[in-house]
Amino acid sequence: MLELEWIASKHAGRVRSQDARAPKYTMADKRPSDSKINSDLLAPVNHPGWGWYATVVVSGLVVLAAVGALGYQFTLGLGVWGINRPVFWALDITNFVFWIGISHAGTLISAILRVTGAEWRRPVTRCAEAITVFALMIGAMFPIIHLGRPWFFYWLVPYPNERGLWPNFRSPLAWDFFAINTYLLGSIIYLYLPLIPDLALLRDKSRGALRRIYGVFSLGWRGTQLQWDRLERAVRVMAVVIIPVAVSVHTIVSWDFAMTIRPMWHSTMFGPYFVAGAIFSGIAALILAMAIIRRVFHLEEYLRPIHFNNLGLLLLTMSLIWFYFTFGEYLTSWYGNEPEEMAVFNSKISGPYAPLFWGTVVCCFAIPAPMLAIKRFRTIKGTMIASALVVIGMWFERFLIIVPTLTHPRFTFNWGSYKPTWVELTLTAGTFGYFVLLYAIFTRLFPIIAVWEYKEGLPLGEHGEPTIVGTPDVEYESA
Amino acid sequence: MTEERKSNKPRWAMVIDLDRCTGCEACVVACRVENNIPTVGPEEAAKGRSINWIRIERYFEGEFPDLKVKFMPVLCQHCEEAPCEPVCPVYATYHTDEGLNAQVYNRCVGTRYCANNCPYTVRFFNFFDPKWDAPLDKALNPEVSVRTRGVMEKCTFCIQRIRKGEEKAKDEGREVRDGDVVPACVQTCTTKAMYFGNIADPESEVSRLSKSNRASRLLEDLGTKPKVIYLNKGD
Amino acid sequence: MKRREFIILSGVGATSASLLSACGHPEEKLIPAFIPDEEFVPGIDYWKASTCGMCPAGCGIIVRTREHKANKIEGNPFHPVNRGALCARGQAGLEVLYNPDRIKGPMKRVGERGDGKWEEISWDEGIKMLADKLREVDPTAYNDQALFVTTDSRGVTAHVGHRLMEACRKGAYVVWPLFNEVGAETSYSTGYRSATVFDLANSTYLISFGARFLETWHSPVMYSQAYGEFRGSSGKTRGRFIHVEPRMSMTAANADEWLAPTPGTEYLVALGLAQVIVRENLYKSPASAAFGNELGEYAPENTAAITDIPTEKFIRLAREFAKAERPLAIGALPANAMPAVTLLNTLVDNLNKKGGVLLPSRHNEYYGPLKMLAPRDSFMELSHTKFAEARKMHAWRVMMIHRFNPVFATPAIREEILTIPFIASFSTFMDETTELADLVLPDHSDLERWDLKSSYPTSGGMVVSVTQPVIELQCNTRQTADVLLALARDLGGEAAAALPYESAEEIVKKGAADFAAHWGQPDAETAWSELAERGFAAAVEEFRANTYATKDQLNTTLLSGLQLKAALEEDPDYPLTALIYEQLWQGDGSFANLPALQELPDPMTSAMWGAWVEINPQTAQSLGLKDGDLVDVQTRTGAVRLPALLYPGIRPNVVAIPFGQGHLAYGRYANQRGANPASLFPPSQSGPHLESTSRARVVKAAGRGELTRFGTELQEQMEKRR
Repeated sequence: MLELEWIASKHAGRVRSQDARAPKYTMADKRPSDSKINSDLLAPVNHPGWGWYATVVVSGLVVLAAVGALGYQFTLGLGVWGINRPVFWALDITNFVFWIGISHAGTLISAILRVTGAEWRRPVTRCAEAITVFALMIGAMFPIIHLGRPWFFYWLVPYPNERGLWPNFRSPLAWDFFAINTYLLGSIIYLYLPLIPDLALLRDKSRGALRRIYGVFSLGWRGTQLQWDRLERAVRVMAVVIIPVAVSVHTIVSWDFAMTIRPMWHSTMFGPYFVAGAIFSGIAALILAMAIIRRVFHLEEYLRPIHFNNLGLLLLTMSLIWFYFTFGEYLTSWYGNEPEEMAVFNSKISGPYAPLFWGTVVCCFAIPAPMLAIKRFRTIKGTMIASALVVIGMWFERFLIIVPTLTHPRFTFNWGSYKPTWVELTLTAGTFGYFVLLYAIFTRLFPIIAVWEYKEGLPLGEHGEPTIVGTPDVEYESA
Repeated sequence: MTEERKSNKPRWAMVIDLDRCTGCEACVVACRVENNIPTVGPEEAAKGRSINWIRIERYFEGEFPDLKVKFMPVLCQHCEEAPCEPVCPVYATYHTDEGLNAQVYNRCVGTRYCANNCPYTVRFFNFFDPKWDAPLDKALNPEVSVRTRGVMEKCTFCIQRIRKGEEKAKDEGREVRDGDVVPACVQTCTTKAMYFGNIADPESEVSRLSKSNRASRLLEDLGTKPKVIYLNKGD
Repeated sequence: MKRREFIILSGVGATSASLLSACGHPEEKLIPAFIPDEEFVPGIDYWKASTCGMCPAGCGIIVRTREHKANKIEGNPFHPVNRGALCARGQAGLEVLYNPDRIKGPMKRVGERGDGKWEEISWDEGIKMLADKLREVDPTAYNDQALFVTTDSRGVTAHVGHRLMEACRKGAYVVWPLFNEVGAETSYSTGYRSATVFDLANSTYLISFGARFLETWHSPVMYSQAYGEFRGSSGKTRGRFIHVEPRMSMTAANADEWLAPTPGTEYLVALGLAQVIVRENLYKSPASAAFGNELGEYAPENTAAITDIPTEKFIRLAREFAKAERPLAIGALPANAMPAVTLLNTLVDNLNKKGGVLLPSRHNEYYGPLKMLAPRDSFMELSHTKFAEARKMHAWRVMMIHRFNPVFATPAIREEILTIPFIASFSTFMDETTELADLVLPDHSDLERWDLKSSYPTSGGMVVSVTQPVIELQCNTRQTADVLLALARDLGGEAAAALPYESAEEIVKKGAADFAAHWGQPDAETAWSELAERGFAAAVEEFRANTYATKDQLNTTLLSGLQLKAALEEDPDYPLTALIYEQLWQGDGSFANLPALQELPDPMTSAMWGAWVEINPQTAQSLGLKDGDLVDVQTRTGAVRLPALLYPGIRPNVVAIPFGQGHLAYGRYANQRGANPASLFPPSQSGPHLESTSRARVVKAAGRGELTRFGTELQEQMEKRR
């Protein structure tokens, strides 16, 4: 009902009456002026501040180091990594799974919140959607970087070619190719669509070449009713479509493991387990990103404790779900007591990987779950700490899914061990640096909080005049 | 691909008698020489990157003084239902119509997925370009391609010798028979613990031995249908 | 050109081009991408027969060549010794031929000895230099001598070298036996030394006293094949195999039952078994009863405490052995302990019987006209002790060293060798001894030279195997026998008269052809062409059951050399026993420069590229050692630092070190790898001709050692399996 009314309200000349059901506390209690909102939300674009520059320089240096490491690796071969026989995958695939997991922040959260019409989502969606696109870009690099002969990565691409060979569609890696590309494309569209009105706003507020660029990307947005209708419809369709795509992506990533016959990989619940873990780490990443943005760009009025509270509750839910899956996964292995499974199991529970394993449990469940369950700790700082732990914990969780299974092949004669080299560690640091860099650049180019979406959710103006949602500086045409 | 469906083609298989295998590793060196397998050197070997298409796995049972040892030569099992094959995204590993599990080095991009899905851990990766200090490269076998860095490799059942044996049989206008094809490891085996032949031919030695009550295959319960058959230790 | 030829040629071109492309010529790449290996058209190979030179066993080989490059060695399928098979060592033979560290040509020293400064010289100059030195030897002075030290006791070098040294009057041709000669020299202390073979294949119950016949004893490939048949071939029951050795060697690992007595007491186990057989009247030869009294002392009840083998085990094994259909005992014990093994065979009366000890009766006739291969007693045998003693008596003026590296085998000998005024080395590689030489006249590798080798297959008779060049010369080397001939010509007089040959090739061709003609070929010319193709000629004899020597052996004096005592004196400061052993893969250390063997995982420990100390996990625990910890093994003579390897197959309180690593020269693959345990043993004992034992202690050193394994750490693996 709510949704229908909401849609109906759009058709009423973009005029929105005071909606008693709109929770007041998610937004400013009093409607600030349009120009204040504009200046606040566009401040990062116009006046980034020294913090922004410092971030770009530091992350840029980390990225440069990683590019150097990558060049070194491409020149000499994968031998510069710590991988060996039988540990053929390690940090490469850990980073792949981790970043694809992080990418679930956005799309899934923003899409679910949009579809369910959660009003408090408004300042959160863009943050989340941007995370998705960048995390996905970084995650998707790894299947290429980790190849023995990365210069032949295009052999994985299905197109009629002189080699007379299509990719092997039976391989989960080929499925990955489709899933990740679909998701990346979908996520970019899903980020881009709600960006259009804000691009128009930026166009109108900028001069010269920048104005032209924003102009091109705003696709001639003028805020007409028809444009609004189309945009709304497109966003809603994308929101619905992106959810199964996102679920499928991490399911297919999990199938890279689950389709094999390796002990502790070959598991039917890996799909939902990975998706849950992905959303879990995604929310944590989102909370961290929001907290930093809030602080750096002084958006305290826009990103309020209530957002962190709500996301904290979501994080708590995911933490419980994650624990449930982990518990279920390990209990069944332990109860089944198959020697090959137990070799992997023991190495994690009590063997060389025990510190990492229990650290992960502490980071992903033992600390965040009680912390987030208690309202007193569900503050901005509290959720931030919990999120940081979860991000770290989930990275190690990915590592622990991959490496202990590989170090324990079925025949004990071939057991191995793994130690990363500086190249892998630099690349890993580089992914974080690259993410921060991309994100920082994004905030410099586009408002990180969707201006129109925020305004749309505001209560009516002080004098009861209808709030006009559109490009604010354009003359209001007709009611 | 079942054995029946391609019955007109030979199905190459190996039998290894564990009662005869002494673990002397002549096969390991013979394989290295025949198949241009590089030595990776002490530093790389310490990282677990040395390549042995065939290896002797050794298992201890019991404690001093009642200690027992089992030697088990392990090479690519050339599974009929090979787990490595479906996971390769570029068809670098695939099933030939003679039932061999082939690796086309030129196609390989090095995802290493096949190695991860091999329950026998018999696939090897070239972490760096292979290197032979001159003039050791003169000893390379011209019939076996040298693998560059970034590609997987593994036992081929000495495909070059199979080709040679088949050509010879064709020239003589007959089907292949026992003795036409002898892989390097089987050829050098000091105790004659290894046999190689066409298991589709009921008259062959491997067919006969595969029916022995000592015969078993590695990890049979995985359903990979290996074509290396082990004859268990007697006694 | 026929279509088929074209296809074959393009196949050759394509495959070799693919190799070239891998070696840095991508422009020559002809194979289009994506043609699977199985679609290549194979080229045509050329095979040439020769003889493996990696150990004295004399296995026949065939070498595959293509475009003037040898690319594979295989066993000669017709050769009666190895019947097509070849061991790991033999398979690695090409790495000797193409080794990057070979000495490229003759050199003379320019710096101080051991400085490693050399000047390339011509062969003529080198030969003249050595000839001049030999001329300086004063034939009238009692203690002025030239010395030729080698490990070759038979074959062309021995023939030429011996004659030359005799002609020099004051020259001595000296044989310094290696590991591999141990078995051959002492395995059967009576009867013919090296012609004795053991019919393992047909035996049904085999007890081996330290004879690692699958690795290093006598002829590993020949006995491995026999072992295969012993284990079961159609129509034969599975033989039972007992191995007695304090450390579980690969051979021991294959035994049905492994007995690990206190080191040095293996012979007591043999005597204990004999005592039980005699007292229970289980012997088969009637004269055996005479041993009753002499053996009383060795009753298992008396020796169990020393050997640490329970009495019940003695009794059970003695009964099994005596009652077996075709029992056989073999051993590789010190010469004075070997009678104990002989005694067991005598008791079960297996001489010249199926599955027993085979002594060929017409042994001396085998050689026919080929006298150069006959065993010669006149060779002086040298060991470190003898060397030190002899050094006092003779002022050796010139020492020539051939296929032997005494400075590695006995590091303490270095100083004594340095006192010799002139040293010429014929080594193919720059080893520790050659580093001290004044003149280096590098020998061919085994695949480039001419030689003859005799060996005794279990099928009976004798085989003469031809070593012939299979490939053109790789370096500016010259066969030592040819150098010696040139030397004789230069010296002139007696020396030249004693050696009227053109070349080693001539000697080999004539000798082999004469031998073949003697044993059934119509004429020498046909004989040679066939020989060259087959690679060997055989003198065939069926073993006949006879009673030869049985009476002689049943002599109670047989036991007089034996004493009932523990092998080593107790030493409170050194509570452990250290022993060194030879591996098939490293031999006496002369294979440490072959990467294929360095990177070959040891089958028992899975270790490669180095050396280690094997310690029983119990002992390690009591010493607080973990796998891979660096330890110092100390004896009263010396110490080595190596990583500890926790090895379940060794007696507690015994540590074992493989011999062969720890080179301080010898090329890039061998140099500075692991440690040489030879220094642990007093010079009188050490040297690779005896697998030594000594009292020792193990002290933990700081840090972790470099212990590289192909497989998993043994201990982890065992614990996890439980």
